[in-house]
Amino acid sequence: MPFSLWMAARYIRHRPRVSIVAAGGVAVAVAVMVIVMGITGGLHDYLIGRLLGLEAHLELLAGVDLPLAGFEELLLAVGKEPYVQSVEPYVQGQVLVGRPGSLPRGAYLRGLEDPQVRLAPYLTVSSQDEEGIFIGEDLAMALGLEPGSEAVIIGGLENSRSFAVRGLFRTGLEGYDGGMVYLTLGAAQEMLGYSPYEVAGLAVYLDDPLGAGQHAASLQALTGLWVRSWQDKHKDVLATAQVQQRALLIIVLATFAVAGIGVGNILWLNVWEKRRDIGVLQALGAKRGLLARVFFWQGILLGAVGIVLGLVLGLGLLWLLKGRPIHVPELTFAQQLPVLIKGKDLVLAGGAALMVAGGAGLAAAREAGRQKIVEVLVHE
Amino acid sequence: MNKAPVLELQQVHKLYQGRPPVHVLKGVDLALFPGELVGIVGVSGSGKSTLLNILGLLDGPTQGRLYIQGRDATGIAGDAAAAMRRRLFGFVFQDACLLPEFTLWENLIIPIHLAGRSPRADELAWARQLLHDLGLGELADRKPSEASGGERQRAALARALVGRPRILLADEPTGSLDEGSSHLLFSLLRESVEEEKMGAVVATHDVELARQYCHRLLSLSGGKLAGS
Repeated sequence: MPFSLWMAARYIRHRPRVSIVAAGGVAVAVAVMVIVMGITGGLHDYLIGRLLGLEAHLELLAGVDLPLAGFEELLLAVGKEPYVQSVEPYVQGQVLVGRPGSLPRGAYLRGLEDPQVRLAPYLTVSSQDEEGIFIGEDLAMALGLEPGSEAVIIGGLENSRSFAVRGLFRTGLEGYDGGMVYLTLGAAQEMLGYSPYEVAGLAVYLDDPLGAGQHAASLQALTGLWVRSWQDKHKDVLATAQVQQRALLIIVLATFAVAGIGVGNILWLNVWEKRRDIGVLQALGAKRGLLARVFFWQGILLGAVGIVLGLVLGLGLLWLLKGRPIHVPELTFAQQLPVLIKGKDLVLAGGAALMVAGGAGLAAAREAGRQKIVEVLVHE
Repeated sequence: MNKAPVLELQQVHKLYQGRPPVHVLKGVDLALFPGELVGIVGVSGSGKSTLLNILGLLDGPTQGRLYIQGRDATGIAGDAAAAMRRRLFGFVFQDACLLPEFTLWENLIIPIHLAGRSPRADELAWARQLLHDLGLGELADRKPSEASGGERQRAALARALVGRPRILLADEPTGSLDEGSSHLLFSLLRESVEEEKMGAVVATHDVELARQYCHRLLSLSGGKLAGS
């Protein structure tokens, strides 16, 4: 063990109360960061999961409101790309939905080749029927519809038809649960005025949905179509989440600043208390760099202890909070607190703590290195 | 006695700038030879500590020259001075100045660590022998606060000797000791100086003690050093 580290460890051990207070400040900052990152990460991940659940990762379109004709070859070409998990044609448009004889409501109709497969994770109730519509739970409730009952879809002035309700779904997203209905592709094409050879676009699902932005350019070059990623589509939601995350990060950084000031104060006081020892060591032949390292190491050691305590505290609290029921009515989509612990967040918390404690140690080290031997030894 | 001085001052002045300025040393000449214990006596404020600080490269002279082992060391400061102190000097301070967080044994071997390496076996053996010779063998694991003033000062002497210095400087080493401990420390000091053939300067206000144990006694008064 280097001599300076040995001395630093002894100084810390010699003043346990002060050391615990200093390390405690770092621990609180680390714990706050771990908890904030864990919860915001969990919420963000949950939100993305929900958004991605029903959304195509990429949509290939001929243009705004332009039908895409002759899409079979494109389906094959896109499906061969190594990063593409699956691709399917879809149609989408506005319709009116209601019970026979009652006032209909506006909704979006989406037609997929097999909507049951796509909706499976979100189906709350479903019937055994092979034909019919899937309808968002909130919309169904507003219209008084339930599985097996009859719903009327109006696609145009002379284009209305009754369908049996095949199932209800809940995604947690208001736009879906209160305003979407799903039909098979053929039926939806008919209701929205598409020919059997036309679709609104191709829905592409990727192995890595978060890399959708990168693959959009490749598919645009391959197909010549307009490509829109799920991130483009939900820019506002994602931007809001990012702003919230950044705001919380500022609070976390403020916590680290307070912890750093705490460690810095304690180390700075330590330098002043140890002025005579510093002078003695200089007289015995200690170079300024070595003395500076003693105080720098104290910062690092206090930081390291703080990191360990902070990780235990933060992860422990996250473990206690994970899965706890949320009693916030606005958060309708998550009934339980989602928590996501990422290794990189823990490394970031540890790194930030080490930087703050190391910075405080450096400031103290600088002060120790500046002590003049005769002043501290002879005139003390 | 070797004729070449291990430490030499030539016409050293020390002026502290202030209101008014204080001219502490006014042309001090001193030659210290190996195996010689020189006592410097003087009243409080006469400049004994200032002289020792200049001798030990803890402070620089305002004027004059300092030679260490024949080389001009005037103006050496900072890390270069620290390296020279570590290699050639041993210090004993008035109130021992041991580091309170460390045991007497750890205090003793700190100067070896300051060389930036772990102590060698022969150095540790020498340190143990010093502890034993100075009657501290049983106290090695005690903290300074658990030792008496005399024991602390003997530990400080052991610390000063552990690096086998060529020059030993002691500033009022018996200032806080009783008569018995003072005699013991001075006799150990003289014994060490003669055995290790180093040059030593002891600043003290106790003229009788200095006369009894020092090879040479000098008096510092009015900024001038004179034989007494």
